[in-house]
Amino acid sequence: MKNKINATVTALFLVLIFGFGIAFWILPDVTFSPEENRTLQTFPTLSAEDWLDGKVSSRLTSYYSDQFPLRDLWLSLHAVSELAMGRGESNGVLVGENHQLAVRRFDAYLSLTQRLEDTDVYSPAHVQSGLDAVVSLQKSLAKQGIPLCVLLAPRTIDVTVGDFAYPADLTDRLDQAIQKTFADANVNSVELLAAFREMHENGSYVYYRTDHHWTTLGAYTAYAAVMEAWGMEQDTLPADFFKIRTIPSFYGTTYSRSGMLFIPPDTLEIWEAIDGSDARFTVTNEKNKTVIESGFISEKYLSEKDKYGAFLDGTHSLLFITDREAAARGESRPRLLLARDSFANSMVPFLARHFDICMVNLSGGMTNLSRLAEDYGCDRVLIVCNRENLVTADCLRNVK
Amino acid sequence: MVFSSTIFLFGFLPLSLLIYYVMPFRGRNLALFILSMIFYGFGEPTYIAVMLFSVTVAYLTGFPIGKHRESNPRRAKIWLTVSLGLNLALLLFFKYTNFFIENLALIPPLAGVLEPIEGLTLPIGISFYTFQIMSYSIDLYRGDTDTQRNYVAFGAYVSLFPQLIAGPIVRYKDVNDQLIGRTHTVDKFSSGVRRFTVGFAKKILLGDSLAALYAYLETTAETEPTVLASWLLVLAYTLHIYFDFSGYSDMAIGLGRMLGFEFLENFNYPYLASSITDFWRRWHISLSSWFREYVYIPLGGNRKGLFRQFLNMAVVWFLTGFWHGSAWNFILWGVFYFILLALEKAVLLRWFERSPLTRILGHIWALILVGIGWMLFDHGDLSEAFTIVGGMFGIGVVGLSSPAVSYELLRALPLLAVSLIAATPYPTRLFRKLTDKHPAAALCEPVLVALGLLVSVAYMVSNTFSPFLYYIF
Repeated sequence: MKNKINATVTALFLVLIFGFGIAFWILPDVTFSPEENRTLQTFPTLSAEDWLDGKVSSRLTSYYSDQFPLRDLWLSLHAVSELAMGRGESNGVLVGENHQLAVRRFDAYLSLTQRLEDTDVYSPAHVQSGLDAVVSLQKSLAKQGIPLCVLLAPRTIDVTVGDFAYPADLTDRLDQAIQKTFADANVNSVELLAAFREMHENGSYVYYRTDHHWTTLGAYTAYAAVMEAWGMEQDTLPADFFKIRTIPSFYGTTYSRSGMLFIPPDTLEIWEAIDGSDARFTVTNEKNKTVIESGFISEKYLSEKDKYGAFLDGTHSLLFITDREAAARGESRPRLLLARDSFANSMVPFLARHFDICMVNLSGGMTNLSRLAEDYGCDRVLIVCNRENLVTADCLRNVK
Repeated sequence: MVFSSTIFLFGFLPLSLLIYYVMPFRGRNLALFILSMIFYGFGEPTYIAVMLFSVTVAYLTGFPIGKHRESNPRRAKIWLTVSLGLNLALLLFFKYTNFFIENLALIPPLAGVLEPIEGLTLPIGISFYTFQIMSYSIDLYRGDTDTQRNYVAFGAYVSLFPQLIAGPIVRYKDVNDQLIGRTHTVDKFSSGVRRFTVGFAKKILLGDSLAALYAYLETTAETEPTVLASWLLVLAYTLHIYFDFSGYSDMAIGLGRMLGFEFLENFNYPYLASSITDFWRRWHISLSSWFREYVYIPLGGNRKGLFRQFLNMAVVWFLTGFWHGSAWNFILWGVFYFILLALEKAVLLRWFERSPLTRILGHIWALILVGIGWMLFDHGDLSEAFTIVGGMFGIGVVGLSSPAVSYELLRALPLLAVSLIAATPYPTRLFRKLTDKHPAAALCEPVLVALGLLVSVAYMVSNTFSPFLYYIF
């Protein structure tokens, strides 16, 4: 029997290494991974020079790991093993009640210069410098007579922390730093964390389970809060002004990172005006090229993995959202400069009812907001930025 | 190329096994030599030349050493010096030049005169293969072995890919016979597979997970130092380095068996050590025995009085520390062990033997000091090491623990528990007992091997998974 077992062990090993080794070469190469949202390494060109530099070896190594067969299944096996070991997370993604996922580890600044990957600590000094930049932006805008409103959107972990055993004090501390700085400097800041937490606990679907964004309901809630902060609550459109189109099977970025194949998908909602007035709006870019002819939705994304990208066609550095009919009538609408990250994309369909919007990407280097407001003749400025960017990026630090 | 990569496991390894076993026996050393060169040259193409030069020097000087060692020992000694000198010179040049330059430049008149050589990187594995090559020349000179006339066999010995980059350091006389004749059986191959799987799982499942825990705690402790975090840091690193390194040795030994070789053991459950002295009999055995055999004993060992013995120990431990890396913290780490070992030799070892209680104290003493030693080992910036060690005893901390650290500890408990158990011989013993009693239990061995491999591959693949969240903007 001993012999048989030895032969089995040997055979198993050989089948495994030869099986996957051969499958690797037979299967066609994939160039893009929608799950990871990045291009994959394909077979590198081999030149003697690159080989001596060590480039060929590093490219071949990534080629092997990027094109390895059954990647998704391996990731899932990893996730299941991690959960079985009681980690409660995989790849920095927590899994909690009702299949709620939340990223807990971010890349973060550890000091003003040193960045670190995958951590849940951050540099208070870095965060403070971002908040301080907003405070001084408010002062310079005030001199121009332009009011500023700020919405630092909570991260999923901030809102859903009650679903996990994860300690809340790390996310609470970040919230306190924001609230204190803005209260001390009288910044018109929209604080949504408490409201979102309560809604989430009561079963409202305000943040996706599998994606890092808020849902359209979350975006609507944020819109209503911003209107209130501007003293325009009487103009806020009621929820029943919209009919809801649902897009099933939305698997977001958090899901992809976690590798937890057993998590059911989210549903993405598109809120459309009952009277069909969405069609009045046009989205153009800085070259005056039409991005979306009518409405706010880029339909092609809805059949792909990156469904959230449907809102305003994913990432653009500069977009203008205008009301064609109003323009045709020669009516001049108030103008809003929206400095934002992707969280704002699902808010724009609501805001556009009240303003012509000039949208700049905070990470796109266009950080001189007081000049932009001047250049585009904006009456007011709104910053919408996810707290993750406050910790991991330096876009807020550079606004002026 | 590292063993724990898809390109090795599913590319290089199957191809190598195929070529190796297709070859008739006579061609197998040549196949190994060439495959090992590819393995080495994959990441370090330019440094193949350095290794081949070292191999050639030792090979060529082997003829006069072998010829003259009995008739004209002086002459043999000259050739031995040539071989050792050239090999050590290469090691010194690549590994230590910039260390010496940087430190000499601290002397005011030399500052600005001496500039570190740019682009001087350490050829992978040079510390290991240089020692292997030296063992050949010395064994030959001492008459422990005969001249190897076959360049390919000698080259295969030095470059053998299973142990090329991280040991175990195989001494020539231990492997000489196997170079000429070794057996290849299914039993040996399957024991290699088992050993490789154990090492692979140790490295990937435990070692890498502990490394992630360590990295996480390090940043947490930096922003919020606590007593618990400091102890956990030491524990995580202590376990991590064991599973990482001994896992790698296991993989090397396993791969060696698949190719018909038997290497000596490199680890013997080091954290069961009853003292620091005992620890160094169990940790990286191939290195400590190399130093004992080729430095300590030739210096006179313990045969020339107590003072000379301590002096010899000081030399060996300075060299051991410096061998691990060209930086002050490694030297300090070596000196740290010299002091501990001298203390044990002078007083403590006898005291530990007194009663069961003192024996337990010896065990605790060894574990804590080895852990503190690892902090010196891991921190080029010594102040960081002192911060952690201070934190263990409540110096400079903000409290006993923080919610984040307590959470992390709780989540890591199963990993730590499995790791602690896996660092002892009990699981192996239990399994052996079980199969002795119920031979049918051995049937689950293939299942365990398959499971170990699959889960480890899953972790390996997952670690390269880095979603790029472009549209956070």
